[in-house]
Amino acid sequence: MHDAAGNAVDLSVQLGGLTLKNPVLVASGTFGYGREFAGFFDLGLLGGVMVKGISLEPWEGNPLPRMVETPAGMLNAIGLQNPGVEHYLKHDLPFLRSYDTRIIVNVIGRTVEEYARVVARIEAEDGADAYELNISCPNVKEGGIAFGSDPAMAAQVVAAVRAETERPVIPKLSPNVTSVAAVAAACREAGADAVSLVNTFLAMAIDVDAERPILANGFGGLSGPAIRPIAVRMVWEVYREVDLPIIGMGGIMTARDALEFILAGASAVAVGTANFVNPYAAVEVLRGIEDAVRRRGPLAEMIGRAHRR
Amino acid sequence: MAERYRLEILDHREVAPGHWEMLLPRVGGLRDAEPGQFVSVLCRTGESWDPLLRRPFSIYRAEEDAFSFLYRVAGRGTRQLSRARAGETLDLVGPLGRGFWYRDLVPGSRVALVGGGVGVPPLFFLSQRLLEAGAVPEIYAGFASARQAVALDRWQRLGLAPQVATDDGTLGYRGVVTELLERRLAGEGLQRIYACGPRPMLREVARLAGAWGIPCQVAMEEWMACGAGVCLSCVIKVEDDASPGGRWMRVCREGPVFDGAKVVWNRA
Repeated sequence: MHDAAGNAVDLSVQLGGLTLKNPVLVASGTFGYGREFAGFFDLGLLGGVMVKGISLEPWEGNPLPRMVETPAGMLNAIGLQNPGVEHYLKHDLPFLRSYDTRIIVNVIGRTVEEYARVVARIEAEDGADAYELNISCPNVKEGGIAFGSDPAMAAQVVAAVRAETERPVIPKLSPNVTSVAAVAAACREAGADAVSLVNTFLAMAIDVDAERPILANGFGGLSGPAIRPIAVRMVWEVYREVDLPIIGMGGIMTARDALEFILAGASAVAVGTANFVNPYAAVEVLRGIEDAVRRRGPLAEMIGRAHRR
Repeated sequence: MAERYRLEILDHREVAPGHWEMLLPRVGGLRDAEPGQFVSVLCRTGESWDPLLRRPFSIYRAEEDAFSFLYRVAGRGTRQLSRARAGETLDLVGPLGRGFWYRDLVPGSRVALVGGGVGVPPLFFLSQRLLEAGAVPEIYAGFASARQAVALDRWQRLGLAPQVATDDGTLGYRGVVTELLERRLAGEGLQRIYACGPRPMLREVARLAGAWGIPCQVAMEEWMACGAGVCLSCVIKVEDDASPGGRWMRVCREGPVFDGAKVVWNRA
């Protein structure tokens, strides 16, 4: 990155032991394993790719309908369909490794042990730069949100994974709790290096003509611009109460949206649902942040600055 | 290769009550679009994020410098889209998906194109290509009533005479289009069937094709969020050699056109 005079603009960020060349990531579940977007832009532009959640064995996912649009947002209940860790290591990792970007593997499990085993397997193949622990998916009955809605359970998952790896461990927290800061604090005690804030909001839509839920799963996770103000508030709270780097996400469509999260306390941001709407969204967010750093000064000083005004 | 384009709307008109044809310049990778492929269109205007997601539309006509898609106003996305005017800019991504395959047909092959409702227009693009390939397309088009009958004049200009069925009998045969297909199957020489339309129609076409031992391709539709293959909203069960019971395939990526004999219809 260079400024108008050709000088380099430093966009790098430190995320508890993980160095990103810039703070723009793509959120898990909105970018697959990168392949589909590689035709639109060079994945090496990104600070990192948070790959779609990976489990020990392949997961089938939920019946259809899995998705429905809602005002300025969407509900999904995909159910973490994925081809499993061996498929990732064989087919997706070599492809992702061919790009100059960080690979943050999103890990899912039905039990604490499953999270640890997925991480152990990936460690054996050197298959990640960091791990994001999905303890907050609202769409699966076992695992997922059950771990993320209780501080002690969340800490158990973090500790189990911590024992398997030296790489950064980043639990992705659920917003569907009374105090997200309490969960973040428990994760910190258990050895987390950073937290991702936030996963989708548990929500529902009903077909008024058919008089039944639209999603086959009944509930789904709400994402998109509709959730952004709540996500920003949660980043603000965790930044204020817990000493842990934050990856902010939730309805980021533009660079200005991303700057809200950074000013609220996020060290990095993830573009999610926007990838569905605009395949170049993450790159456009990056360009906008670069521009902001050029005008406003170092990124490190911008993180959480709204707290100090 | 799919890309995002911002195109000036050349023409946009209501061709039947609630049915609109959008004409756009055919530039870049859109020149390589194949029948059955689709474009993913932003239906909102200006700064609004609502409706948030793109809508997928299959290509109806592909001329030298322009192409079009035809849609029915069915919800808030298409309602907003219908307010767009010629001269305004449309944001679309495409061409997407895997279209009909036809290059393997030998000249003179007789094929049936079976469409229902707004599934009829995408078969027009296919028939253009089939004629170029020397095949002999027979068109079977079903509509709710004569008022919703679209695309027929285009075929007539090509010298083709579509056989039409309407639910209410206001145009052509009174009944469903698959009954016309069934009658045709009793005759000789049909080498392939292509179908695009509502799920129950596709299922019946696939059943008939299977009964008569004729290969059949169906263009499937499912709610999509991304259209790019990553959200896994639009999956359907399709059989392949490794998965005799069917496995998830993405309508937006492996489809929207599938072998009708391989689709697991009991989930449909």
